[in-house]
Amino acid sequence: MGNGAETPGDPTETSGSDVTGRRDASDEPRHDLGDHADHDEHEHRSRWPLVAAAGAGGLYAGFGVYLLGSVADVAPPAVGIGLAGVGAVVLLVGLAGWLEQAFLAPARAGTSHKSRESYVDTTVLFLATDVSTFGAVFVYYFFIRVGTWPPQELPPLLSSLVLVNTLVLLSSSVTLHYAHEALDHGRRRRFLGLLGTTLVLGVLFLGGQVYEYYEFVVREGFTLSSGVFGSAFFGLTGLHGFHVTLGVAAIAILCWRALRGDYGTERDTSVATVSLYWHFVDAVWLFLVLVLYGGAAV
Amino acid sequence: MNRALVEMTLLVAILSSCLLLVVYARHRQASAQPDGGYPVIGERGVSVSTARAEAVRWLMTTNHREIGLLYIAFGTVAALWGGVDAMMMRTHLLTPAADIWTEQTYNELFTTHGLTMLIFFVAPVFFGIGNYFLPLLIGADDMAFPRLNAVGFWMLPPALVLSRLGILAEVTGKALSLIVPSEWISFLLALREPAIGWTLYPPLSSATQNPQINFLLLGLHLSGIATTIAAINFIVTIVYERADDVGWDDLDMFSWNMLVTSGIAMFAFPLLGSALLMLLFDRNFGTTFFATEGGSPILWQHLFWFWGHPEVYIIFLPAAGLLSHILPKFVGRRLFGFKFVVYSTFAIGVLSFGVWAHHMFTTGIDPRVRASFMATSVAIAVPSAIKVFNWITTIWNGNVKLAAPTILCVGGIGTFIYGGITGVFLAVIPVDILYHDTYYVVGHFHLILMGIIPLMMFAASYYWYPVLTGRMYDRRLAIFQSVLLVFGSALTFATLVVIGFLELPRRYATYPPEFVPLQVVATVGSYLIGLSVLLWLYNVLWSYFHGDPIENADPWDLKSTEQFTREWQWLEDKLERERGIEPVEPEEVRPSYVPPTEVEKTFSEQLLTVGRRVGNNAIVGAAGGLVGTLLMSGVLFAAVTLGVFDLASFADLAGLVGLPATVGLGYLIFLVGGMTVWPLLFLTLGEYLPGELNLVTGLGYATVISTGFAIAFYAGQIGLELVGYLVFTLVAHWAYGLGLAGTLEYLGVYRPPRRRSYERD
Repeated sequence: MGNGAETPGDPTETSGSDVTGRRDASDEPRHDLGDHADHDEHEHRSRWPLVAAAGAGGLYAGFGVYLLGSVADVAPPAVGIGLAGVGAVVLLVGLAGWLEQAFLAPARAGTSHKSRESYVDTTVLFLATDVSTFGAVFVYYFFIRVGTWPPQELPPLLSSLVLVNTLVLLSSSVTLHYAHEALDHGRRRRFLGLLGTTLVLGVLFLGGQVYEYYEFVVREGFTLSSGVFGSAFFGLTGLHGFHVTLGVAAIAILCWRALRGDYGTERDTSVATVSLYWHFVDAVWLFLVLVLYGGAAV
Repeated sequence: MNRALVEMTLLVAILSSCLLLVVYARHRQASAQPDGGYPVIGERGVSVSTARAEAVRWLMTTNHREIGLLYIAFGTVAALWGGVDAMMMRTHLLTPAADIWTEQTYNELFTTHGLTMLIFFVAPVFFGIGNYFLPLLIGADDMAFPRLNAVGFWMLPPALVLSRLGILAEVTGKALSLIVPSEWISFLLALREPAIGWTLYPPLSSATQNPQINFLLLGLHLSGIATTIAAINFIVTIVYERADDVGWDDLDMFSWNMLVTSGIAMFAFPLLGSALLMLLFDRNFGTTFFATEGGSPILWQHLFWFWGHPEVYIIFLPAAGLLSHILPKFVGRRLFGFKFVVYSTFAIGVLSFGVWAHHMFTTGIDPRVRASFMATSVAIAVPSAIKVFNWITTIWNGNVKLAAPTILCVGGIGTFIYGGITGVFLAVIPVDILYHDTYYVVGHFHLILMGIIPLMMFAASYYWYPVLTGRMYDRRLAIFQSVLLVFGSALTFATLVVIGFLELPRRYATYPPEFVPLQVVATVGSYLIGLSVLLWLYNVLWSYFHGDPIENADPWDLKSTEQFTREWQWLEDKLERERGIEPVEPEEVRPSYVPPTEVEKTFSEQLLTVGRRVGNNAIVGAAGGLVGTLLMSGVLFAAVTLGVFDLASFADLAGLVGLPATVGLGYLIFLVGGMTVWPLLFLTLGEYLPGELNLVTGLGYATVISTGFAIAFYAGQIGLELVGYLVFTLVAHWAYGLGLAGTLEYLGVYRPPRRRSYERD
């Protein structure tokens, strides 16, 4: 249904992309590039952006209504949670539709004319914004580390669990790297195996995180609102865990597409971009363990 | 008066007037369409099916030009909303007591005014202009990620609604309470516009109960995501989607500025996003990010301004880019020092992240930190000044055309200089401690936020109006509107600077009665701004239906100065395809300041060239000086006979240089001086005087040097004699100046070839 809105012969889109067609100094006939671009990348209609944005709006509004209910006590919090849930689902549907229409379908058809490099660089740009996102919370931690330290509520941070989890995440980076290598060398079975291992390791890490949260929150009574360190700990590990969750979802999509045979030595753009993201999340974790777990225990 | 009802009534009134105007203009449309035809009867009415098709088209478009227009429309609505806030605030300040609205309402007004304008007005409009024109300027098919582009835009309307849910809920609640019991809609009535200042400083923002603050934080976070998406998209578009023949060295100024702006936004907004969520958690989940016992409210200020100051440049740089792009078209000269303007843009981009703590000089942070931030804050004035000097030099000797964009550009440079220089003073710690949180600060940043940013938006809207609509706007009205806007901005915000000099603190709903006159002046100025905005709205909406259709793709005569850039070429192609309008060529083409091609020369050759040039100039100058001095002698002789000039002064002159003090020798020295020193000085300074070396410059030069003569040759005349002496001195020098310049003009003097190419226009 996703592509239904854009029949290739739609006159508006043809004229639309014709007028924005590339101009060359030599005044070549414009349609040699334009035609190519017309039918795969530059349809000028898509329903998915609106769906995704509406979902995002619903998610945020729902969260607000939930707070209105739970804090100000004028509306039942369930209404907010329901709205946020619906919003989240709509957002995911919108994102899925967009991914399918903008990237997966052209990639399958082999008509994507964008360079692999541009996607990789876009991912790098996104990761730069992420540095900034993490930065704010790290700065908070540094503030309290040099300020109101030591806190009242320091749980036993350095345990074998953290060590195992770190090893799990580190090895998942290694397996993903060699999966990509295997793909480059055309060794499909090895590629699939290593990619699957990465997914399992990612899920394992998340399981470890959940277990750690359980230990802290239920056993130790150390929660988000326990004090200055609670904010830093749950803020940073929570933000990181959210990123790992997104990464696991992305690797799951990679696995699904790999099983469908979407990848090859020359067709590895999304493997490259997801790898970058995964290695980044891994690097953040190392820094986090060093600074937050190690730094607080010292 | 209830604030919410008044504000929404005003906003709805403005928007519905626009709608009525459009409907009326469509109805009245009897003139030719841009394509030369006349509207068919059926096209006038709007059928349900066409309305539906249009709605689908605009809701689902991924075309960069349509998304650009959506951005601009959204930003305009936000601007009107924030503008109504501003008008109400200025109205409130007409009286020293808080008797028009309450103190609470005043606090709400300045909070929502700031947030609406900064977050929802400026960046969306610039991203809209960028969306429409940047791909055309760099020859791209579309933005790099067309659908993502649409996602980024469509996140903004829910973000705005969430941010301003307080007033929407209040008005809805008030309306509903007429028909349903109020307990049913208690959740609507629980929301109030926040009154915590746009900077959202904790502990006020974390301790205030108003649940609307949660919605505000969520809305701002959502808009931050939208901005980050758009920023990444712009960068990738500029890097990867340029046409094959657009290299980095051909990139236009607007794209350069959008590139740097996006780079700053990409790094600043995610940090704000985290900070907003941290504040949200502090408010609702008991975290201590900005609590006094945790990260401290100072941490919020650090994080907020680490976004906030780059944000200033995020919204300033596109305006600077538009100015650099548009100004040259209206003065017939290419942008002076293009490369250095690009460098200055990058310098601003880097420095913008190193100045944030100057907002916190009075918070008691470490004095060493303050000193270093003072240094960087003063330093960032340098790249800004580089831009200003290059703009001024671009106008210099140009062929300035009177049009609304010219007025807006020149006015924008003026107010920017004033806003910038007040900022340099404010960056100095002792001055800042004195003026922190006074109207001086408000005046300073509004001279930039109002004095150049919207001015450039208006300039762009006029300059590109033919591209956008195929028609020309009402140029007389536009000129009037531009003058009114520049005048209104200068009046309002210069007055605020003056009020600040008198140290009236900002953000108070009441003030001492002695400030009434100044506050009234500022309010009148702000009404002028409001009026000019309404005139602009009227002009662009009405002209969309009734403006004169353009006859060719070059309404600004850009081809004649070789500045016919890509977006106009695109229009030319479109006109040719759709209306069959053939491209036109101007009768005369002259290059707009092409730098002279430097031929490699050896040192001795260069020396010879310079020597020959100096020799030529000296000979011609001596001849001109002789003619001038002789003419001058005639006038002085008349003065001697009238008794107002003493010949003994010549003798003194000879004595001064160590010769026998006789009149004859003195006159000889006078003659030689008139043939050497003064003509050479004229030739040298002439380079720096406006216009060509002609009789007018000669007169000006002579007038200046006559003051020195009048002092040197003064021989104790008093009363009427003194007046006569001064008059004759002046007239004698005019004779000299005319003789000198006239002879030079007649004989011709060496001028660098580049000056000739454009100065005789």
